[in-house]
Formats: sequence, structure tokens, C-alpha cells
Amino acid sequence: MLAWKFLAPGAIAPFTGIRWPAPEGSRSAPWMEGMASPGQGVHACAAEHLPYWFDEELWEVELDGPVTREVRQLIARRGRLVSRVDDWPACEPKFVRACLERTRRRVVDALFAEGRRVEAERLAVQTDLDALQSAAATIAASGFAVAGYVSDAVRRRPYPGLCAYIAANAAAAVDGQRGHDQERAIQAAWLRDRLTLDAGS
Amino acid sequence: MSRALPADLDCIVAVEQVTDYLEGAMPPDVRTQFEQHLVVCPGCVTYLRQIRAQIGAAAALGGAKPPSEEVSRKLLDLFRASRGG
Repeated sequence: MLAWKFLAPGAIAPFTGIRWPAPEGSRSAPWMEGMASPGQGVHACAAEHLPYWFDEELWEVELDGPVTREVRQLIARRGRLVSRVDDWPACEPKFVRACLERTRRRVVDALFAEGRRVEAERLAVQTDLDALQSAAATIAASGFAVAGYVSDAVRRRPYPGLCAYIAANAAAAVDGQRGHDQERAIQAAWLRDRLTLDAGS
Repeated sequence: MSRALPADLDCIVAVEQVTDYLEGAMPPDVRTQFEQHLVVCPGCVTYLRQIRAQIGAAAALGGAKPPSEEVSRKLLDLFRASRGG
């Protein structure tokens, strides 16, 4: 089964610090074995899991043995790196910006719905990100707390995982769990399309 | 802000869990929740790295020597005094 895995620079697992060997030329990478106990093993992502696990490198991985599909990850008996996804992290700023713009749109719509037209228009047309952050923070401080998500997303834009999380929480604040799930699905679809990842995994 | 989702892990809880995490003592679901927190919390990532580095540095010091008898006695006296004798 093919899946994906985010790794730190040098193909290092971000949490365990283990270095994953990369394939060399036409030679496949060696298998990395996971522990056999329940819930343990090699962790990887199906497309829908990707927005929850960002890092500097994205790799296509082959999984083998029984594969369990958890809510936010796949767990397999063993796995190996197949190839690096070239367009990541080059397209990271575009991903972050897309999260930010969806968050802005949700907040603008919510402001209009509350009859706060002037503030909505101010947020909608602002092109300078620092000014957008400041304007959103001012609106949040005035009692319209959901605007704070825009400010947070701008402030945290160096961190794609955090921006994706903020966008999902903004969607939840406006539209509950359904909004959250839709936003996460949009993020996964964005990554799948822009990185031309096969949906079949 | 409104919270329409189940509560996420707070940093104050996450830092308490770092030792269990590094020792592999967490159940899988707790570990996943902890790692999810790391993805969205650069501050806790830094903290985890510091603890890892600290463990590595301590390990590089080699075997710890026990304190001298006199130091041990003084420490015990201080400890007992702090507990009300």
C-alpha cells in the first residue's frame, strides 16, 4: 500500500528522531520495522491525514503487513521510503495563504451576518498582512472573538500545521464539527491536488 | 473564543507528559494526542528538544558519582529539618 509521511530535514522522523534510509538510485530503501504491539508500528498518512502532520519533507512510502486506519494516521507493521514529493515544502506558503484566506472569508461572512458591515469590509479588502492582523485583533477585542482566528492565522503563518489547525478551529467556531471536518477535507484536497498525490493510496 | 470541538491538550499538561513520551510509556491514543499537540505548538517542540538535549548531555557525563558521606549526612539533615525534624 502506498501512503505518505512527513519527515524533518534529512528524512528524520520528527518525534522519534529516527532517520529513515532513502532509496539509492534504482535500489529500494530498506524496510523500517515497527513494534508489533497494538497501536504501535510505522506511522504514515493517507491523503486525509496529511493536514494534521506537517514537516519539512514529504515522502511517498510503501507500507506492508497489516495496516490499521486510525482517525489521524495509518499504522503499519513496516514501511519504506519510495520517493520524495518534490513540490513540498515549496508550495507551503500557498497552502498557508489558502488557509488564511478561507479563515478570513468565514470571519467576514460572520461579520456581515451580525450586521457589522464596516468591519467586514475592512477585513475583506485589507491586502497588507500586518494591517489585517491588527484589524482582526481589534475586532476580536471589541467582543467579536471569532475574528481572533484571522489575527492568529496571520501571526502563525510560518507554521503550516498551526495555520491549518487555526483554520479548522475557525470553521468549527462558525459551523461546529461539520465546519471543522469540511475545512480539514478542503485542506487535504488542496494538498492532494497541488502535490498531485494519487488519491488511491 | 467559542469552542465547538473537544478540548485539545494544553501546554501545561503536555510538558508534564514529556517524560512518559520519551520513555515510550504512553498508550497509543495518548501519544497521538501528544504528537498532535506538538504539530501545532512550536513552544512545546522546543521544550521537548531541550529535554532530549539535556538527557543526551547528562548521558555524556558518564556514571554519576555518589556524594561523599559528609555531604550525604548534611543533605539528610537538611531534608529532615525541612520536614519538621
